[in-house]
Amino acid sequence: MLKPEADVRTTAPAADGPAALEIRDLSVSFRTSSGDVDAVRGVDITVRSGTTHAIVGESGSGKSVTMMGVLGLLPEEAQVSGSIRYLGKELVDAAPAELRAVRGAEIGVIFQDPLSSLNPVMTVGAQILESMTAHRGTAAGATWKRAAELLAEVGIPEAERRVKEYPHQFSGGMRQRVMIAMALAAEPRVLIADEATTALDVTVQAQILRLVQRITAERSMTTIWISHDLGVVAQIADDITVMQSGRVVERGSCHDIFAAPREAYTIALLESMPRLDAPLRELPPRATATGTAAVDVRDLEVAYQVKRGLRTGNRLVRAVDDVSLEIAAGETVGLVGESGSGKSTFARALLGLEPMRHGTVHLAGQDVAGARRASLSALRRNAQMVFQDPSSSMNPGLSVQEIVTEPLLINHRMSASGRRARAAELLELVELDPQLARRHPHQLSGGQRQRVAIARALSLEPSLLVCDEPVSALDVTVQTQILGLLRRLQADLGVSLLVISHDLAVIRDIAHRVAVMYLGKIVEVGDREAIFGSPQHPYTRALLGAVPTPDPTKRFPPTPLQGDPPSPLSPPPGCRFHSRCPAAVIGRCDTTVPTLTAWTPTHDVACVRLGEPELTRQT
Amino acid sequence: MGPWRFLISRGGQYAIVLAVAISLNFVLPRLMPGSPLALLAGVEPSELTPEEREELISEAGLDQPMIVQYFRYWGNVLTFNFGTSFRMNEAIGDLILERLPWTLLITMTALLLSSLIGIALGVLAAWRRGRASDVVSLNTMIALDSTPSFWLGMLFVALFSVTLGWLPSYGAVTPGAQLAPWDAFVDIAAHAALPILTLTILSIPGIFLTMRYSTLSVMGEDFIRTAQAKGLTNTQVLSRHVVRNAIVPVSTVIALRLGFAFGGSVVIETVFSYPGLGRLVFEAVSSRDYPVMQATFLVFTIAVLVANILADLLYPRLDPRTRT
Ligand SMILES: Nc1ncnc2c1ncn2[C@@H]1O[C@H](COP(=O)(O)OP(=O)(O)OP(=O)(O)O)[C@@H](O)[C@H]1O
Ligand code: SF4
Ligand SMILES: [Mg+2]
Repeated sequence: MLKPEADVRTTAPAADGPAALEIRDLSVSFRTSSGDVDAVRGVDITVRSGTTHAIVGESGSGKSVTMMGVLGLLPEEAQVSGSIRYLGKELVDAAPAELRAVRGAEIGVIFQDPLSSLNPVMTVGAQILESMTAHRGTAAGATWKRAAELLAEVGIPEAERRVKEYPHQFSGGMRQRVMIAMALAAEPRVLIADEATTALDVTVQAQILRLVQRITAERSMTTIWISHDLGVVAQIADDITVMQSGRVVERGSCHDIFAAPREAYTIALLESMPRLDAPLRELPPRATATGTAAVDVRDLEVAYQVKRGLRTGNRLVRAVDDVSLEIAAGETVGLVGESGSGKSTFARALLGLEPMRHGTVHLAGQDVAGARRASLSALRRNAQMVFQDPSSSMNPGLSVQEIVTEPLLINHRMSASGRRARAAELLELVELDPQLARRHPHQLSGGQRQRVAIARALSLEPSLLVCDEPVSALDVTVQTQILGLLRRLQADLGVSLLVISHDLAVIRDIAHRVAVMYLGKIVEVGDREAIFGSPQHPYTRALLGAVPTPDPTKRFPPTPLQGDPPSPLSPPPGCRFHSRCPAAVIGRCDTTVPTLTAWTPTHDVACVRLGEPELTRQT
Repeated sequence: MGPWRFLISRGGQYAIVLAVAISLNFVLPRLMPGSPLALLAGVEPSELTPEEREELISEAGLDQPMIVQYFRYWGNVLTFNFGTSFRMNEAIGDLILERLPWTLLITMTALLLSSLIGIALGVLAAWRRGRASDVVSLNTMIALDSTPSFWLGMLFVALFSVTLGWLPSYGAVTPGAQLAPWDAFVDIAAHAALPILTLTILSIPGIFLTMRYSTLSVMGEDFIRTAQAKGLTNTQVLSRHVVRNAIVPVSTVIALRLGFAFGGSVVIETVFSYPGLGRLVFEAVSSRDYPVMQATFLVFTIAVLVANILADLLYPRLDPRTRT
């Protein structure tokens, strides 16, 4: 079993301790072929010893560059001026040997993506060991035993055995634990975490946050937490520095900044963040007439043959297993679940882009599987897709106008002048300046690109728009705008939406109904009031409980969900959630496969213990 | 899965590839236009009297049904009995065994040297990317990569043998000399030096370019930043993290070269009159000694196959992600 991270530090740190890190007037510029880029411009940050200091700000605001500057790990083309003092010692322009003595031994780092940040051909034990020997030589207790102890300390079960394994043999959350063990190996006094939980599922994020808090408190470490996620910051920070375009715009204690932000930028950041404790937003009305549903999926099963290396046979993965879902005309259904739960596979199957093993899909009354090739493309015109990363789905050589009207061209609709007029119309629809029509994708911001992607998806006037993580790659202020746009388009055009997101607050802001997926199955589905107001399934409750609230006065309850999602290759028998469910009853949950059962007329739940008073108490 | 279990489970696939190659070797001469006699017995049928022809045909077994010929052929292959070379009047099996060590000596030494040098230079160039030493070595390698091997070989003969007189220009040993063990070793080394030098220089560029590119891409990986953030020295980052990962794709290139080393030895052994398999092929081709050509073709195929087996065994050791 994993060690629960129950003992969270709640007391305030010693006020006005000595500074662990003092950054004064730091500027970093990069020489590039297209001129100098001023990434950091005169930044002052003071990190008090023993505190958790968060640096927040939108993408490109200079958070990472500042911290890489502290470690002296900026690329050669970077020009650094100003001062960085670690416990009084100047680090800017320090000798390489002095900097090396600080890296790892005094300041440890964890990065965003633990898989790419670990060496794939070295065992995790060897990598942990290396952190120790780099500073203390082989003699002073740098042993495999010590490496295994560290792994156990960060909550990796069977550490003795796993210390000899390679990074790819660990799950995402476990890899981040390995990274933490590695950063702790040389016993640094400062830990820098750069978006350390951004790539993780929300339940795993909650575990890692708790782990970092426990460990840094036990070792009286100073933590610098870089994040764009204000929810996370509210949960763990003592002090906050807000950055924008390379400058510090506001600094203060966590409580002050959340309670009374002073700068317009900070206020905008806090206001635009979708949160679970805000009042429910008004949504465009759904079609009331009982016409044909926009989407009608019954008993859908999609499975992949998975190659497992050259030398072992293939295996069948049921990415979507026996899923039924209806979307009414003009309705938005939100699909949530952890990574690997089959959300995107489900979306692609709707468009006939996945081979179905079983079940039926009807789009506006027409059978997708039964359709012949010609009418299948007609069906697909009826349902269009918007992706997370718009630039990867756009031909970089085309202009915005050409991208937006590409579907018209492919379907031989309209003359060139007709298409130009339509492009202008579409850009207006998504609130883009018509002047942008002649630009190319790389000349647009992320938000503008996503608008172009939406305009393109709308060009054939589909009745269904499938949006797969439409705002995940965007900053919160832009997120809010795109969500607002989608709501407005729905009100104006009556289009149905399927919105996939791992972010529950985003779903709450846009979806009439919500379906929660776990390992290929829908475990709970219902109106958003039901799902967010009185969730019944233990998994839904755990997901909601793991979302960090952007309010420092409401910090986490002590029991987030344990463990990682199991591999879809070998889902647990019975209820697939039973290996992590706090309410699981062995003998029932691991033998009976629960089916979706009506809890209220608009709320279905798949749990064998549904309705038992005990269930509510235990989750 | 251990290497033995791996060999056993993959052994079937290797065996099939080998059987197909051996069978092709049987089929091809029989598919060619004209009488297979020319190919299998080494004579133009038109030059023979009908009686002689009859005799040769039955001697070569060509009057038997195809299936019988096929099984007899297999029997010969398995007993390493490839018949007799017409020109050299010697059992082909013996001929190959006699020539093989010389080819192995020069090709394997050259492969080892070029791998070591190519990898080391590739890493250095990538580490100093964009600087003068990188640009110079990159351009030199690209130029070398397009140099014809016979030209370089002849240049070395002219320089080291003719002009400077340092090294012998042909053969593998001094003919007729009776030498003490140490002197014999020196003699063999001196004769092998120029072929090895030429082969080495010509195979460095491919390895260098792959290693340089793969080092550059590994240096951009996140885990290199992690390694630096641990406080490792540049040398430690380079040796433990960069090279260890960058070598993975290079190992495939080296394995491929191992497989085709015999083929590459034809030109070099001809230029230096070096008595290896490559020279044997050249002699067989120029005197239309088909049975010899066939047998050497088989040996070349086996070499490619062995190189593949080695690569399959090595790869999971270098990259644990390919293990299961
Ligand atoms: N090597 C480089 N050359 C040129 N510009 C760079 C380089 N590295 C970073 N920048 C620029 O510096 C600015 C700040 O980047 P930084 O990575 O610190 O942002 P960030 O706040 O960490 O953003 P994110 O939230 O996306 O991680 C950006 O405009 C970025 O494009
Ligand atoms: S069926 Fe059992 S294991 Fe599954 S969610 Fe319900 S209580 Fe938990
Ligand atoms: Mg960053």
